[in-house]
Amino acid sequence: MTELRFNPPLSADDPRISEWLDDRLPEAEAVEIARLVAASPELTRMVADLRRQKAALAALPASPPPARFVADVLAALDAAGDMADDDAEVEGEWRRIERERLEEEIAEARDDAAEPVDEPMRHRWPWLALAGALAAGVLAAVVINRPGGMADREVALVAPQQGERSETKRAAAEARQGDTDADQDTWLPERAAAGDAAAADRNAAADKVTGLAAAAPAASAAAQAQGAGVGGGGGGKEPRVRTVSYRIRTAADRQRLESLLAASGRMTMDRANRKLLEKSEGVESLRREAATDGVAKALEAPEAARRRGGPGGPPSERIALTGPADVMARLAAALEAAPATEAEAGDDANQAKYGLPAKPAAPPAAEAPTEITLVIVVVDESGAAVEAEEGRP
Amino acid sequence: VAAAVAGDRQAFAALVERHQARILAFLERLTGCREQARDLAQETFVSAYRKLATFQQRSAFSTWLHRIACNHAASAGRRRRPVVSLDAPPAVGHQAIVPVANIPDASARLEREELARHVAAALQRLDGRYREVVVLSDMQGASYEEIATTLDIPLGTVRSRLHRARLELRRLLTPADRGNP
Repeated sequence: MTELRFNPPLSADDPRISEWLDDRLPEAEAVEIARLVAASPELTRMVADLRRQKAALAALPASPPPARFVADVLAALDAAGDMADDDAEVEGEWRRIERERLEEEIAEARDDAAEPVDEPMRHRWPWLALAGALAAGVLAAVVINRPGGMADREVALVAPQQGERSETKRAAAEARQGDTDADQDTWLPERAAAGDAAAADRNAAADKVTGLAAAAPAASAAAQAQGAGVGGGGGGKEPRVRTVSYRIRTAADRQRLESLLAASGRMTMDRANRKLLEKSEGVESLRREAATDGVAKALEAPEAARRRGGPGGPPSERIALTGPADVMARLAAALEAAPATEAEAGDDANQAKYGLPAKPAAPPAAEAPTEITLVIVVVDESGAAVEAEEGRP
Repeated sequence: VAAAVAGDRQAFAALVERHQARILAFLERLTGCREQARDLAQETFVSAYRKLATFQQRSAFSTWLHRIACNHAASAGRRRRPVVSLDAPPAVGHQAIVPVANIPDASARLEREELARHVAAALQRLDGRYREVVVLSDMQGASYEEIATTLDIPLGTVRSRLHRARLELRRLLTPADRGNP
């Protein structure tokens, strides 16, 4: 995996600064970071603050354990008896919340369906990608374009038409062929991008929303993913492709997306797909990590992305993630449910509904607004090879 | 651990004895409330006992425990309204927060305590996801890999999330008139 490193100037957002503070960087890289920090008064001041902050955190006192804590735990074990498993309860609660949110999102998507669909995909400078393995395709597309708030957001969740499937398969095959043709360290994003752009266009034209009906409840979707994924073709069940476009204009947008992706990854590992991952043992898990890791890196490097964008316009970033159907559904739902940078009424309502404390205001953008369109292609695991490539200018 | 898995209650009690301080401290830092932390720690150990048979020793027992504790803390955060504890640090207005860089050398001890209060208060204002990684890394001393295992997130996400968390904490500790870099 090629990484974009040592592209001065060093951004304050660059996580290598924390890695450097934590002595995690190789010596050569640490020296380079130290040089770049020393060259910038702002970074020098920031690093000094972070050091003090870290020391203060480490020095915070902790309360001593209660004297009878161990005895209390043992008593609780006795009292608990054959009660239902706590973690099962927690998981059940999570599923309920997710299901409710999904249903709300489907309803909202249907409402939004009357609006025209904007396709903001740009793929002049795709730099990060995973070429997904696609065996056959049912296509669902979500286009989210929310530069400023709910009023600007347009969403389309489109059920694939029968005739589209073959085209999707072709696009998938082309993308896969692109991988095959390419060097191990080379991804051909334009080819896959073309496939997805065409898919998104078809979705827009279809203008029919069945939404996340394809995003079935976790259990059935997981079962479907299981069949389609690990089974390598799934006995006639077709994997799904979902394209999500998400416009990022501020650091807060980027931060939100990163957290959503991370959350979807956690769902993958924690719930219905655990067995899927265990069956595929290691390799798929690593691929998934590579993909999400790539997302994080992409999001960490707005400066680099802007540079690649050049003066001709904002750059776009293209990210492909693999994931079974239910994970894709959750990701799509989560993207839709993402709170806007500014507080939204619906967000507060959801917080109240789920008994959560009001969300703090999103941090202000740490940089001038940019307009990076980030395209995420989520494909089902179908057993074919997936390679990740981090950005090439 | 093996003895506890085999059903030895005393062995499990020894595990609780060994790990209680860290788990309690972890949960207290996550929740900002000693009483809630104690309840959650108890739930954590009860869950751990029930799930001992599923512990496959792919990670350290401590990491596994932290993960269970994280799940309980997250679940509690979704079930309950915030609890204001009498022993929680007093709420501090944003303007009153003293920047870490402005702490003078004189009266070092008092000011360290003052800083500790401010940091503790700011920590509670952090987004929960950020608080998790900061507490695990800077207070519990967990490695990035251990954090990734505990939170079940990719290593790259740990890197980015931890750095953002630290920057956000710094912002919270920086008065508005000083501004952000």
